[in-house]
Amino acid sequence: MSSIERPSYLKIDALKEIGNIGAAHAITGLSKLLRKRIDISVTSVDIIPLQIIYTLFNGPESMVSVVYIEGYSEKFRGMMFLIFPHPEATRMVEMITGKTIRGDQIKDEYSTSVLKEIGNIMCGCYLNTLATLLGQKLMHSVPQISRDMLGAVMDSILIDLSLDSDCALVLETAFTLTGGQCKGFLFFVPTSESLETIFEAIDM
Amino acid sequence: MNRTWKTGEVIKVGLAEYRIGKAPERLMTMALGSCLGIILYDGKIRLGAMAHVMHPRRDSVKNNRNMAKFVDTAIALMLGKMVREGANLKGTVAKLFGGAEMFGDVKGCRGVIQIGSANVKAARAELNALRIPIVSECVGGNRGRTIVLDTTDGSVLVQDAYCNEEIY
Repeated sequence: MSSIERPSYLKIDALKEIGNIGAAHAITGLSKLLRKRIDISVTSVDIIPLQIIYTLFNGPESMVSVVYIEGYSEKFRGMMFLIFPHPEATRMVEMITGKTIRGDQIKDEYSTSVLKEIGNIMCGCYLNTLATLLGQKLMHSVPQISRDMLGAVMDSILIDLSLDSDCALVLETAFTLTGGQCKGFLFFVPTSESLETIFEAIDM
Repeated sequence: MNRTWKTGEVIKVGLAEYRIGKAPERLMTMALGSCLGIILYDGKIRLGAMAHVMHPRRDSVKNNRNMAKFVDTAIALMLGKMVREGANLKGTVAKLFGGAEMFGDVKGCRGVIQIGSANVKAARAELNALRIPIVSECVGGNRGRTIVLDTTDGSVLVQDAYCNEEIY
């Protein structure tokens, strides 16, 4: 198995800090949008086998909404995804639009677009922070959304990553609306070359 | 609808894995997105094989130690094992599932995410070359699928995220 070399603890700590700052900006964006307080967990940084992503929540068949955005520049490529477990996505849309969604299903264009925009704002804030830290311009793709089984949504992304390695370095931040009624996850997965770019930019 | 498909003795096939099973065993793989579920089945001795593959071709990928990850090598692996268990190539049929495009239109990103249809195409070509007929398939679209093969009669249950069920 070709694998990513594990960065030193110092570098992991630096990544954690970058993740924390990025996530904090992303959550502030969401918090402003909702006018609600949001708690975030400390970002965890780890090299994990790609299959582990499958075991999140209630396994590969659990229903999720995933907004996917790719950040890139000449020497950098990173994938960002915002994941809401199934009922949470609906709750989130209800909170922003002030409308009640019947059942638990988001199907209409409008609600889908609301979720995309949440993803756009959060991932945009995260990537902007990263760009500032790196001192580079970072472009990002338009947000893509998929609402389906976790495994099915993630496999297209895993396919991309698994071309080079069976493991990936993942920065994960969980957040909860104060009161606990709504949970979400932000993942940032830089490619291994991009990791070098990050370390170079912060002189490590 | 038969609710016992997914309970009881089911052999789970994980990402980039393959398994074979004899009647009355059932084989299941969960949440196929762009990945492809390939099923080979010999009805005479009621022996089935299922693979959950990720890429069309082995030689185009750097990280290629796991042969069950690729359409071309996984089919060869499954056939080899089935023949060792007594299957006859002439009586073997194939079914294909998955190969969806989960993020509809991602032209802004890299093309590799559009891999679903490439997987389907590769599997059709490979099976055609081996003269194994594809008797049914449920591929493409933009939804995930869980599949369960019942080796007693070769029928396959396809279930999506909204619990719609179909038998192939």
